Amino acid sequence: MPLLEVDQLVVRFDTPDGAVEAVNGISFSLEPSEVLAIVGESGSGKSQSVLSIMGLLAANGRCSGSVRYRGEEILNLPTAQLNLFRGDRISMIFQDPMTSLNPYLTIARQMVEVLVLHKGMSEAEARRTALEMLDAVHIPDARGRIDRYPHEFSGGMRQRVMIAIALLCRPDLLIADEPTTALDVTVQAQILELLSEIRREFGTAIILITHDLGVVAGSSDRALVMYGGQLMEYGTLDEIFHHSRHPYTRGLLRSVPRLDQPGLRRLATIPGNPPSLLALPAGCPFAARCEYQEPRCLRERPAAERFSESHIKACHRSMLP
Amino acid sequence: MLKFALKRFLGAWPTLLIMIAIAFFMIRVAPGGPFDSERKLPPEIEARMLQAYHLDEPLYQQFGRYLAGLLKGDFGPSFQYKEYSVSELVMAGFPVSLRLGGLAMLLALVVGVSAGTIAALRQNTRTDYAVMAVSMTGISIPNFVMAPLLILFFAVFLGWLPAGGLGDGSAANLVLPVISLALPQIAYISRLTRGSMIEVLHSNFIRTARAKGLPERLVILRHAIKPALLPVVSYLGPATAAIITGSVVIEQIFGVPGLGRFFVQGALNRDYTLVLGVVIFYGVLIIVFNFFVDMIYALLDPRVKY
Repeated sequence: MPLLEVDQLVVRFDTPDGAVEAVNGISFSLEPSEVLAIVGESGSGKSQSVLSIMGLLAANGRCSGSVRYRGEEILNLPTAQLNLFRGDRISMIFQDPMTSLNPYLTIARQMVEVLVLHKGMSEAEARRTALEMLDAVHIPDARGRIDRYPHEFSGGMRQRVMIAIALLCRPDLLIADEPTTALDVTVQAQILELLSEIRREFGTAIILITHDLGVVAGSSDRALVMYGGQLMEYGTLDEIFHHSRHPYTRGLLRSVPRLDQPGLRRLATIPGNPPSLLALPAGCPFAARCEYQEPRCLRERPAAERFSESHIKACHRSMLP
Repeated sequence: MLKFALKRFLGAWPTLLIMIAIAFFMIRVAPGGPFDSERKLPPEIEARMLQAYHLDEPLYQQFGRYLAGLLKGDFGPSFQYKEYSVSELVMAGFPVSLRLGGLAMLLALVVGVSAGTIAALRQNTRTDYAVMAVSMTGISIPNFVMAPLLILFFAVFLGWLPAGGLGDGSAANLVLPVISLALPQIAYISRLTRGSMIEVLHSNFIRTARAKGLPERLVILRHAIKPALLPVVSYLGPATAAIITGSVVIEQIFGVPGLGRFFVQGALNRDYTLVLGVVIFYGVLIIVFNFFVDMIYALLDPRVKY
């Protein structure tokens, strides 16, 4: 049985300007210990789709569809039931480690509470486990630092602390929402290395949200490309990087800056801007920027179409040159 | 921390001196004097009285004499209550005012913080609008209007509570003055709490707390309430000052024999020393209180270092 099955997930926000369609029916599934990367630009709906899984949408957000964790429906559960597995079976880390930890509480307090809550540990026991976990995420001198406050840690160290908190209960699934975006490039690599290590050692499945294809290449098994709240392409790393069937994925791949090719060349870009989520076009959301656009791309939304065991794309063009 | 305390202690003296100087000269600017009355005194008696209180000397000399007295802890004699010194009057009035002001502050904090928190948790619902409407009313209606209205309603129409005075000092006598004094502060503190609570509830670390699976009660009590209360702590200084100035009016309206009443009587009678004594006493109180507020702030926010 898959660890997580997401089926036709839809997320909408009611705003004074009308309904914002942030996610429009995406489906994917995740096996235990698998790493799935969800890739897309800002506003493509990648963060909102995982926040809805965790029940963390803003107050004006509504979601529908189905999310099953080990076969059990968890979407739109009441908070009390959601809390039985949030932080315990499924945990999440966020983009900005500088603000995601509570600045008014010591690291120890923020860690211990999780174990006391989910595992019924005593404070002393929880503290020992917390120290072990800080060691596991390579916080130097964990014993001397556990009683410090978040502002006494650097950005990279804070993200390590966030990861340690998320792993305390040995969850089956870790959702990482752009965990490296706010960090220095060298620190980014260390955090990604840490995530791979965690997956190796604890067998934790990971959903890695990113806009950086470089991050995807180094650390995941499968990738899901999103645009305008919709699934564009979904497949194994090899299928996405080497056999992409979608013009948007190809555009993204071409836009990755390369330093290994000689000569000065302009950075490749995809011309145009993403559509407004307040007024999505009737057809494919990418059509306006697509170099292979056909008349029907503007009229009808392409359905997600499976053309191999693992490879799915949503595009009217069956063949690309 | 110790260095900060010392710095604040040293910094307090110039503040105090400037305050005394302003109060000293301002009350002298007011027309009339302490011994003016309907019936004109014979000039030689008036001259003797002015001489007795050194009021015939040039102002700067009087100021110097007053400061010298202060250094010895002597606030001088009251011009009006001739058998009492100013210190005795302040000490007699302060316990009454402290009880009134302290209760009002306590009420304002408890009701203000709870109402503000509830409004924030039910943002944009009827509860929220109701709390904010009541609070807006509380801010808009000055206490010298609110107090007589309360008396009219609860003392005159309903007859539930006494209209004024301290009577035998029972709690019933304190209810209306304390409420009148606390209402504007309740209003202000509830708005302050609501605003900061809403802001805190939208912050990233609250999202983290929820992602950990903490029940909402713990999210609020453990993670949100402390940062949400920081603006309220900062406001405690101004709130004290507001309650002190409020008590001047409220004690007069309810006939409560506290410091505020002495202050008003003193000002009306040109009882220079009494007015100055009350001003200095309250000034010191506010300076000390603000110091403690800064200390509390540092205790609450680990990032603040003095």
